[in-house]
Amino acid sequence: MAYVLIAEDLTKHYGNVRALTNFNITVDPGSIYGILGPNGSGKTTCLSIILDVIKADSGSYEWFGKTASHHTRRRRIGALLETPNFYPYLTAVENLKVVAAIKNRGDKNIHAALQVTDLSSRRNSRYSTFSLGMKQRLAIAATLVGNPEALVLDEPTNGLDPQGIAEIRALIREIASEGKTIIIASHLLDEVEKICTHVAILKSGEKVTSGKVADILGKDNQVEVAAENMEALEAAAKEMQGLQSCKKERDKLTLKFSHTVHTGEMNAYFFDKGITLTHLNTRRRSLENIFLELTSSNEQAATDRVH
Amino acid sequence: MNRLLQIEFIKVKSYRAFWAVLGIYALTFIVVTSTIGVIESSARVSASAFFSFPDAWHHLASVASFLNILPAILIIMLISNEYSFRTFRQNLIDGLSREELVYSKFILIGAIALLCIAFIFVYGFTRGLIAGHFDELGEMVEKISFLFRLFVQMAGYMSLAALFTFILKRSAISILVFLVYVGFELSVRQFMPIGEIRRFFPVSIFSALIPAPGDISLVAAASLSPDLILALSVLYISACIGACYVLINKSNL
Repeated sequence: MAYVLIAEDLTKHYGNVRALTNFNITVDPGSIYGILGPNGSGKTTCLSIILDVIKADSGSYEWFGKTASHHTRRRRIGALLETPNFYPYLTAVENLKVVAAIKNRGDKNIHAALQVTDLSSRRNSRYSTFSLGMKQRLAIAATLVGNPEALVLDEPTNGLDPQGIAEIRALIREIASEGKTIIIASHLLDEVEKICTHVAILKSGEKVTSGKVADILGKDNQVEVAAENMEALEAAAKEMQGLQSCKKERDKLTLKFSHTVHTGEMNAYFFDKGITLTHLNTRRRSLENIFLELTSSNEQAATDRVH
Repeated sequence: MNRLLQIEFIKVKSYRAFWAVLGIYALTFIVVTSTIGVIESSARVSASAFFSFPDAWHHLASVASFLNILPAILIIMLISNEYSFRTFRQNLIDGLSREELVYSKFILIGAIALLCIAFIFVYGFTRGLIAGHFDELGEMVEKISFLFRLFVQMAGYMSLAALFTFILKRSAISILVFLVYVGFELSVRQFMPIGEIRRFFPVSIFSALIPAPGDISLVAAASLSPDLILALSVLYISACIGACYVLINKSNL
């Protein structure tokens, strides 16, 4: 199996609103693929299309290759889309039995699913009596029913308390370590940064960047420097090769380069110019910086990143 | 089909409103059929004649045909629930096809109709044995085909109700529109001289499945042959299934 999901040129309009434009994604087996974007950027639209809840205007997608009809392939996916949807008058177990019967994979692991989501003690309570956090955990339990090969999770930690968030993240990592593929949409940056292997960033329905999280984060092309004589430092810095920008921040300079920089070379360069650095630090970009840069209204920053 | 029925059964098994409506149906049926004996003097048929085989099946079916509104409302509740709890969407995500979403509801319609028929059969059989007169076994089942026609009639009303719900999605508005439509057809039938066509309206066809006992033809479609009425009923039910499928297939859930 070359890939779990491949989607090409997915486009969806709601009237005049372009919810998703030419969206492409290829998800390899075993990866945790994060789809990141601000509210209304098309994350849920994208997931709704690949789960056949919404019909795309154009484009195509394939799960697990063309082995069976769409809905039987969907049974190999556990999915949580937006809000938890259950029958309020049924208990947790009964709701999961519905899911198991639909997936046609037996209901053997219902209790295991309730156990890992910490709902065992409330398994015979009606869904209508659940708190928001419990509803969300039941939705995650439902995705595990039938032991699916891939999970699609839309904002999985919505409505959970910090402890619940930590537990769900640990659970997602544990599931991923079993070799399952996970596609996760979120606007929580540290969530994606902490658990995902790949990421695609959406802005107003368009993908602005995608790739391995390590590649996107890994470009150490910013460095902070400071010295006793800031004027001399700034003058020397501006003569450096590959410098894109030089920003003065209070008592230090932030230099941005077009290439990856090494602190050793940096230190040697300034020392040769007779400047002794009092501060030298490469700034590892957090996903938050990249995200804000890419999704801000400043188009220039976005295009900078893409090219 | 077995799997779809099983899924629907899990959904309704602990749903109290489902059993409540069926309970009301059974209770109303028992009360109405029992009252016939009490007001014997003014009734067209006496209690013992009412439950006598083979006409008992015809009598019971025509009483039941006035209660079809209850299973129809039940189906509206069950389908609109799927929309308001967004569980159609979830069922689809979990791996049902859009076809299966529609078929599961029509399988449920068949199951509810069967359940009601089974109740009427057991009830009629018991009451017939106690109060009725019959000479031989063959007589008891002679007119049992009325129960089959009642099955088609119930399925017909419920299919129409299902179609309204697949269009309107909300329970209150669907029940209202369904009742108004049934009332509209009845009034059209009674008061408007629009000729032969009115006999072919769905509710007219469904109600003509069980003509009133004693050949008192209140129903406009009664002049059509029973076989034609049955065939048209099945056609209308199939049309409802087809229309529901088309509706759900093009909609975003």
